[in-house]
Amino acid sequence: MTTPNRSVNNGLALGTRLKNLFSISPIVVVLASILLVLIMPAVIFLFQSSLHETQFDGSFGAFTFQYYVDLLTSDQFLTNLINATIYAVGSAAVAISIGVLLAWIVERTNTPGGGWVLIISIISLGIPSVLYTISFLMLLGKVGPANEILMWITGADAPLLDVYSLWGMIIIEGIEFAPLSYLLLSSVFRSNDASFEEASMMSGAGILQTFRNITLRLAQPAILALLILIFIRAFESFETPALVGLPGNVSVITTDIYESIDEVPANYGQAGAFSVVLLFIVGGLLVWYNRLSRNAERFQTITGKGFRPRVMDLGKWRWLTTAILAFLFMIIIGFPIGIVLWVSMVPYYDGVSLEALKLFTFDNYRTVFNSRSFHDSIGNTVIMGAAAASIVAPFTALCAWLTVRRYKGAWILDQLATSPLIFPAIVMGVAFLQVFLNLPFGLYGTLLSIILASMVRYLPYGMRYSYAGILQIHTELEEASSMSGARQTTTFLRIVMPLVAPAMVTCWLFVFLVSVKAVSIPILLAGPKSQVVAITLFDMWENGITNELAAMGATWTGFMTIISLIFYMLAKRYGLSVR
Amino acid sequence: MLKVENLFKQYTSEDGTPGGGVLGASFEVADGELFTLLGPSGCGKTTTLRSIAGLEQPQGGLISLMDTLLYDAERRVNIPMYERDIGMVFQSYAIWPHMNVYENAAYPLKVSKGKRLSASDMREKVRHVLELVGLEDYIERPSTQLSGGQQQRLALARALTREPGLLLLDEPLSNLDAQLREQMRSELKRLQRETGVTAIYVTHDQSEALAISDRIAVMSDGLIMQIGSPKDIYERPTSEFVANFIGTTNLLRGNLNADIKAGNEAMVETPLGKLLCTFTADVLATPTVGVVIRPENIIIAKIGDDKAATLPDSNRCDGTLLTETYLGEIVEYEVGVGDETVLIRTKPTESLTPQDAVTLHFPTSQTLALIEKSN
Repeated sequence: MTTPNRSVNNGLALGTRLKNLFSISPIVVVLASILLVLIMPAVIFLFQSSLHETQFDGSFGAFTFQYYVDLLTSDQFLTNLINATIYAVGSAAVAISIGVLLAWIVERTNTPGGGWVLIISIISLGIPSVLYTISFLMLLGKVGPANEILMWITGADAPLLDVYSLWGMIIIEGIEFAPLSYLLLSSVFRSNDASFEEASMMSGAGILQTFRNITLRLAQPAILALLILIFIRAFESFETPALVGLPGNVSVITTDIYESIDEVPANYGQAGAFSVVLLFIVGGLLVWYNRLSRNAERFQTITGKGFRPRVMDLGKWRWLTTAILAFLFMIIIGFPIGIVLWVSMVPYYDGVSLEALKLFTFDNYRTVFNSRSFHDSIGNTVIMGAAAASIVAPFTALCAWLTVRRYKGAWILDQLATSPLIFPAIVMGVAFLQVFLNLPFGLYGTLLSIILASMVRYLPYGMRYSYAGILQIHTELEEASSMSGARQTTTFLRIVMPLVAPAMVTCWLFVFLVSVKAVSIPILLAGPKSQVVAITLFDMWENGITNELAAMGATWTGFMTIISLIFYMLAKRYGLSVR
Repeated sequence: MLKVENLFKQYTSEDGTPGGGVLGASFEVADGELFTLLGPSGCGKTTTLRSIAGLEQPQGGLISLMDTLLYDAERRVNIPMYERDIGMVFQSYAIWPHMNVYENAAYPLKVSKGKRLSASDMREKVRHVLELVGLEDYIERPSTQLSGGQQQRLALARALTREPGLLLLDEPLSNLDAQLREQMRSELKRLQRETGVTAIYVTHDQSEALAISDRIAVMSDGLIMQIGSPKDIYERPTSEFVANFIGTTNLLRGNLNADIKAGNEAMVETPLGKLLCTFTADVLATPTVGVVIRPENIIIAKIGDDKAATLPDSNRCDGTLLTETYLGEIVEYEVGVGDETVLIRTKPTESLTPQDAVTLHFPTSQTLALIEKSN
């Protein structure tokens, strides 16, 4: 009796399961397939390249574990791993110290000058990372003003600072991440109920005691999560290690990857092995980060009713905090931009001095504006950024909508679209390089190849903005459309799209800005005809064409700052978090 | 004990026009007293409290606690909040989530200047204050695992550990549900009596204020309208605002057509006819006055009843019963007299039905004539 019954049940269960599988909306299946086609080859080819001998033409040779064995048995690898760790921890510490100070002063005290911090955020999103790093090399280098001042103070006759070192990398990267650190911490500080601090003051604690015992302790989980986030970002960063570390013989894993590909003949297997290792380290750290940041949010939501967003009156100490704000502003934006402008106006860079003022000229700008390669690389960059953004924005809007409205199986889209997050940009570059080298049609070296790689790399960023935008649309607006007789497609096109448009524009601008900023992907993929601004600046620095570099960098930063400003205005207008 | 003189603090809204605040409040609080600042939101009660705490810097006036000057605009004295001998319970409790129950309560002893206690003394003191609020079994519990009521108790304990000269309570019960609120209300009062601490209590809930306070200051638009015992405030309001804000009341417009008689009574012409009223404040040269009478003080009887015959002839008027609302321990009647509607509350002993012709009596001692609010 029981046996046939059970088999009937099993049959039913199987049938339901199959039905469930087939009831996933076709649109989800199509989108998931597109994502898989974009992401999977990169992953597969990356692993393959690290497990096969590198051939001259880039194709795979015999199967081997040699690259991993080499890696794990080399002392150099261990040294670089330690370098990378010190560098990442140091950068995170610098960025968080500045970020905590900025966020506390701006959000929790009555110090004027929140506007300065906004300027910092806007410009730092517009300036190419390469240029930012280079500007610090100009400031802290042998002939830079920092060394001159130190020599003048101490009376030494040789430069005291050697910026091409581990500490130089830490300082530069740390300052570069300070705006991000500020942005994330300011939301934490802002959302804390002021009563927590007031209760401490009423218990007899002073301002500093309250800051230490209450403000900082309450923000501790968020700070820890942020520490790991910046650690990851610095660990996988390429610009600063390449421009600062390599000349000073300090290598980290990302520069190892770059050098294995840059050498002749390129050692793709080696690069692949490095990349896979880096991928696992970053992946593991991201899992940890996600757990911590969820924890931090839980911690943050404990505030009672009667919420008062009040700031602390510092009284006569306001001048001090104002001075600190001004000082940090100069360090993060004022000095770097100032030195780039200075260098762009002199015929040759030999430090900042009064005599050099007499030599001021616009020749560098003239040269740059008349240069054919400058026009080409600007054109390429705009096309690259715009194309990546134009694909990412609507695509993620659709994925986000399906996810938010809980279409069957849509969580897969969310997972897939955010998965590139674990790929450090340089690893993404290596992976796509392998794909393009092994494809029968010649994509290698084309602008299209950069667009494809950037698009995949910045999918998660687009997803975040689209998701936030879709969440703001009340379901009933769409239900009303359905009740009016519109089909899903019509509802999406005529209701969802117009409503989500502002979020999509913001998303577009953000993806545009971050994709034209970075150097790691194009440096591996760009060919002679697909140069982009970041690469041109990088090459100019390597070749010592400093003054024209500054002129080009200043011009480009000007353009990008305008776009960044528009982005900020839109994001603020439509209440999207700016990260 | 606590003295506040001409406290002034005006906020400016974003467009530059003056916003809320306190516009010159003066009062004194006696030792061991529970003094309540009562008023609608935006009346300046919280600003007053926060100025006493030192969380807000006033623009004018004087605040002193015992012999210590806390704030004096003229002499430019402003003692920072953390040096004031004051404990405070916040509306949101502000229980620090990163500390457990003991750490929260012990914090004031750890951070305040001066008296440093030995570890065992501190432990003893904290235990004592936690016992006082009934949290002695929760000493090691993480503060995030406390219920709303327990958080409230902990906030109170924390404010008391330092044995402050003054305890400030900023709408401490407003985050609790109704049942718990009543329970905590009487407990607060008991604790205040037991510890003998002088306390200032801020609330917008008039029944809470009546139940808990020794004295109440009713505030409106930055000014103190009246200070008095709960009984005074309820039974002898000196302004229409106070009469209206506290409890339910019938308000009539009247004309004073005669001099005030011996004592403080005078005849007032009202839409209900001439009524002999009691004056609670000096009448200026304004002939128009407001007449208020609480619904429970009006006597109602069916015309032709025995009861109607016993009522005095003066201060009487006749009308029609419009509605009857049965509320259990009391019944509410609305009676139409001419164009006016009068609200009456009695015990449910009368047998009246709508459309009955009724007669009303207004006892002079409870029919109050007030100066009309000038604005």
